Amino acid sequence: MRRGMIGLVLLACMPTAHAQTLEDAIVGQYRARGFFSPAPDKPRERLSCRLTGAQTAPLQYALQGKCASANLAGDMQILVDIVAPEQKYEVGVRFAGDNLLGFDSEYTYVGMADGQSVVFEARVQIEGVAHQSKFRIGWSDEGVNRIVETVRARNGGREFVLVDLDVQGQ
Amino acid sequence: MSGLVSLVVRRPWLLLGLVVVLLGVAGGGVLRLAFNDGLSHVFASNNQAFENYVSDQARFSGAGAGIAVHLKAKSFAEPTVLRAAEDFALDLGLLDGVEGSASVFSLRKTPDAQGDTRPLFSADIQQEADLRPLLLPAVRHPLNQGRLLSEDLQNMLVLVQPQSQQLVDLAIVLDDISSLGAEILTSHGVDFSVSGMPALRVSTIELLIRDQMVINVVAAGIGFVLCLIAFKGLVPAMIAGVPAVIALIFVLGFMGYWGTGINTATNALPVLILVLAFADSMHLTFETRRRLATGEGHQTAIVEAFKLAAPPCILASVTTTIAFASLMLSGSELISGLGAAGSIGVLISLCVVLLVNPLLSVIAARFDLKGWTFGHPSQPILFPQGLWQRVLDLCLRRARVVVAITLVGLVVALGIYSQAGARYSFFEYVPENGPDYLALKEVERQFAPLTSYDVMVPVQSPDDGRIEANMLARVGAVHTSLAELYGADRVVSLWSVAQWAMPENPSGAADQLTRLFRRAGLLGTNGFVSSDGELARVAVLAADPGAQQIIKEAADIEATAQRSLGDVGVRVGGLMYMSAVVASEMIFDLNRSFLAAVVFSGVLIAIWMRSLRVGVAALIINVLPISMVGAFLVIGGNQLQFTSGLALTIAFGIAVDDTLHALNRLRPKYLAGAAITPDDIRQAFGSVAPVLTATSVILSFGLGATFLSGMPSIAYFGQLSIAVFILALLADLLALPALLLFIRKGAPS
Repeated sequence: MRRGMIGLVLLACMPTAHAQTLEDAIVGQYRARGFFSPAPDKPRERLSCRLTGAQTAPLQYALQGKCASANLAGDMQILVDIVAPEQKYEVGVRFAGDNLLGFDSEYTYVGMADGQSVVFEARVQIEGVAHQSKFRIGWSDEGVNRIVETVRARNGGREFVLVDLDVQGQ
Repeated sequence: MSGLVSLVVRRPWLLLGLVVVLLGVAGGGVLRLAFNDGLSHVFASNNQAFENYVSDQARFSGAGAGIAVHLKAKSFAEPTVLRAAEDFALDLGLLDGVEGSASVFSLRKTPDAQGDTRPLFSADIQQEADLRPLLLPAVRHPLNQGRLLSEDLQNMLVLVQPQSQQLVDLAIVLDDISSLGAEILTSHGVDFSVSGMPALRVSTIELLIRDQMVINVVAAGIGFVLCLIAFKGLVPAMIAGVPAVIALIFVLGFMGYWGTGINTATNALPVLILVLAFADSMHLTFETRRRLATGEGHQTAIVEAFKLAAPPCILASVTTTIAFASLMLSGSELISGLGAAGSIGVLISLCVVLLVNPLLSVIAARFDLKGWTFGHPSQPILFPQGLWQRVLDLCLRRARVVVAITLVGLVVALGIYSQAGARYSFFEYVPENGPDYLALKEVERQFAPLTSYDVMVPVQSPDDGRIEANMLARVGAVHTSLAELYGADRVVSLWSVAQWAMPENPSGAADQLTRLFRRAGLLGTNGFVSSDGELARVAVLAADPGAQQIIKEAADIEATAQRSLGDVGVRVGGLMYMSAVVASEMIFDLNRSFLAAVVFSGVLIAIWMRSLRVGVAALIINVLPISMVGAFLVIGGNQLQFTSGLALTIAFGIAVDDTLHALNRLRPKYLAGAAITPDDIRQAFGSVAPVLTATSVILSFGLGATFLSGMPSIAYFGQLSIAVFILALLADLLALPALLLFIRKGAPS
């Protein structure tokens, strides 16, 4: 009986491994593999990323790392500001590299939590053309598990998947 | 000098304390000892080829040496294998310290009408039923031509460009690449090896560190064992050996504080200092023990032994210092750095031996350790005294014949030696059976050479980096003429990109290339055109055939390129060509250094003995072994290399040591102006021969430790030095007595 009580107390004191919120999910090291398509009519190309997530301030998290395709490599930084905990977030994405495929180097997204994902939206410029971008970060108990970005030209073009990455914690 | 030994006798404990304190200080320097392969400054000089190279390096992006990763599988047409290779190639780009990577997955199709290029392989290529038909176009791609994927689809090459060429950074990148390969490739049955110049440089550092640990310890061990055998007692062996080890620590400490560090040139310096110190210390110990055995008091024996044996030790160190200092005339910072470190190191070592050897003798005497065989003389190393006396008599009886043989031998050897050409290979410091070198050769065998002649074509391009038709035409003319001679798969330039972009009309591809480079952010940084737009590079891939062949081939390439444009401004550059030109000059520099050392030492001996004839005789005796080894190098086809040039110069300085100790026995008579009799010569050489033999044996066996070096050049250095020591001993024992007798006969009474 006594042993059972101790067991219950210990169990209650053990930290949970479940990532309930984006904030929980971000912290850690990740490797992401997937695809990117620079334009709706262009073939997908393989993309690989390595990211490290950490809390940088009480209401700020950062994911930073490097992404590479067979022809390109560049550094990436995603700063996540918590506007309303577990609900509303603001994300700044910054790229660094010689070739950004016509993208600007910095974008700011605003996103709302939706279960175990957050969907961010922003207006982005791709080769000088205004696009609407949806940037979705999904997570599971183990942390971030998918990042998908879809874009559509604001003048009525076809929506296409710009980046689709399967993410695995390391 | 006698003041020093008197001080040692009076204040041994004070001086012992001082030595211990200084040892601590030197130990701090040893911990600061830096290891460097020396590549960054081996060729640094005012040579035009080097200046062009430095300028080209600054103007072309991606000019640093790349890392080559060779992937081997049963077939890359196997989907899971190809996927693993692609994952690996992609993930290489994620490693810290990696600028970028290139692989068969980087290849793209010819640009479409809009100038867009699509990847050669689709992202889902692994799902195809038959990969072979999809992979074969990659093998024949104009930007590949078998250089990234072999025709049998069993070998793949991934090239990695590191961000930095610093050895510390390269070592981390190489480690990360190996870890990544083990993680991604091995489980899919893909073997891999990492090679290229960065890998060779990092493994060279590992060899240098290993060498310092192994060679010095083994040489010190050999020295002690030989001292034990020679003196047949622990105490005299310690008295002879400990000063040498202390001298080594002091010199390593000095190298650490001074920042010389250990590199491919200075690697053999510590062991050289060690064996020299052993030899000097042995001379002092031998003489002290001999005097103790005759019943002299210990103070008198130590002081008198010092007075007799120290001067030739000093003079021998001075000649060795001169030999080292002569290397400072070299145009190479690496060689002149060795010269400076060697000259100061020899003097430090001399001071340590002259202080510590009598100090230990005094302390041994204070503890009454004479009974521990310190005061029991014996002939060193079972010297065959009877045989030697008979040989010496014969040499003196047949002095004219011996002198004639010596002079003829010298003239013949010098004649052959003067024909020596320079030989240099970029890889002469690397073990031929080492994994990195074998991996590199395998890459060159399977794909293409990793080294190249870089033809620099003067062009004019606008400030914004655009490719213009005129520029492309000039590059095309040079490229085509060289491709006819060396094969299309061996020539890479902007023309290769034009042939891919517009296969039907490469000369019309200028605008297309401008768009492509602009889109990829590579205008001015594409490695084909210099950042200032004044030069275009045409690379002719070629394995390193050795300096002489490189210079000849480069002249042919330059002439061909100049003819194709009618422009004499076209020149050959690149690391392989520059190193061949500069190395050849430096090797002849070493010969000049050697000549300077010869002249200086001759003058010094003449002044010391106050006899021009003796100075000339000493020169003959000491040039003979060097020229014989040099002649042997020419006959054997080895010619003069960096290593042999260094070995001969330094060994000359050391070889003089024997001559000085022999002449030292006759010096009082020379200084007094007395006539030298055959008996004087017989007596002098009779007594000095055993110790000369013993020190030569110590030097040779001590330097024998270099055979354990992982670097072939250091083992070669040891072989040549030992050959010089043995020949020098023979010349000193057989030819010098006859020569001294001969010049005595011819001298006016």
